[in-house]
Amino acid sequence: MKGTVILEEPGNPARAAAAWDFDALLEAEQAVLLRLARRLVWDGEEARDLVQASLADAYEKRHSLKDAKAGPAWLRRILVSRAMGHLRRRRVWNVLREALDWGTPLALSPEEQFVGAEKWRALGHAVRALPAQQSTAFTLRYLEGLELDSIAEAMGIGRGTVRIHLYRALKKLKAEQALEGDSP
Amino acid sequence: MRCHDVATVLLESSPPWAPEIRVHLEGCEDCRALARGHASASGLRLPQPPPLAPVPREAVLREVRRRKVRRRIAAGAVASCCVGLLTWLSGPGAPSPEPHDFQEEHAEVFEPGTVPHPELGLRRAEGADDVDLDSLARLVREERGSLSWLVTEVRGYSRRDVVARDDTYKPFGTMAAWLRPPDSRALETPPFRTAVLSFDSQESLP
Repeated sequence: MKGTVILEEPGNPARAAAAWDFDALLEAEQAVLLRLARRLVWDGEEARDLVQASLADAYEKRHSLKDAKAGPAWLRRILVSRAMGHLRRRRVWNVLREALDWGTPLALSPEEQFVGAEKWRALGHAVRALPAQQSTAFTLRYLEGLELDSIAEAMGIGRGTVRIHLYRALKKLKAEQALEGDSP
Repeated sequence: MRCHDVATVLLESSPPWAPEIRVHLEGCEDCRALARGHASASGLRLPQPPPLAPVPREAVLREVRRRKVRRRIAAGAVASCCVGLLTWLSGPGAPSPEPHDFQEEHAEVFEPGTVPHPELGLRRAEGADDVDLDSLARLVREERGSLSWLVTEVRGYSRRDVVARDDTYKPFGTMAAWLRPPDSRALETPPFRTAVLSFDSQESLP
């Protein structure tokens, strides 16, 4: 693919170099993106699809990235934006599924079978029930350990709004006892 | 401290809390529940699932190519719809003006006693008053039918608006403008109109 990138722009070495950097960035960040996507959507296959779509987005906009140091945050913002759209659509779909009584949405993939999967799925079920912005803010803050400013930047909202989403998410999860047994 | 301020501090920091926060928490059940939730969430120890297989670069490029194709198809469909809509609006299905009668349109030319239009450069034929008016008027009456027929016939072959509205050209829609014969305004040239008006004015005389 690196060769392909160079062939695409033979007359512009600067842009070709930027594409080279972008490829290196993808290689370095893909594992982080996959882990984040999995924590955002709580499903391995959906996470892979989400990362692929996000990388395609990033590839199409690769020349808009001026500073290579901002690359990881840039990729994270693209992924979070895609994930939030995905979560919104899935929430609507889940409401329809429950209304029509279609039963369990998806069977567990082999990647979801691991030690401690029960606890993982229980928390995932509770977080998935949250609105997209609340679940995203919760995941970025408590599962990824990001600061409020980074969360605000990734979600494209204000710091105060992030606080509100976190506050509501904590109240709902506490009410559902999803966080029970994890108190230090 | 108010609950709002305490919630802000709780969500942006971690234990141990400042003394004023602790004082507030001792007296506020809601804030205490929030602090417990925050502490629980901060201390989550999730099991580590096996890492997902990385997305191959070829898959990313394939997705990019698929998107390009989809965009081109969508753009082509939109363009086709626009062209189709324009064709439909301006084609044979569109309402066309009613064909009009040339004689009716230029009634002043055929009505007796009409004065020629000076702005068109028309003038009465020289020596028209010198001829035998009665016989000329009779002649005009006799010839008027054939003259009108001739005018209509010539106009049908030469006027572009009539040809464009002709049924033969209807399937071509706006393309008829390019397909029609060359424009001819022979009937509006001064010699022809002068001759017509001469005959016409003589007819109106007693």
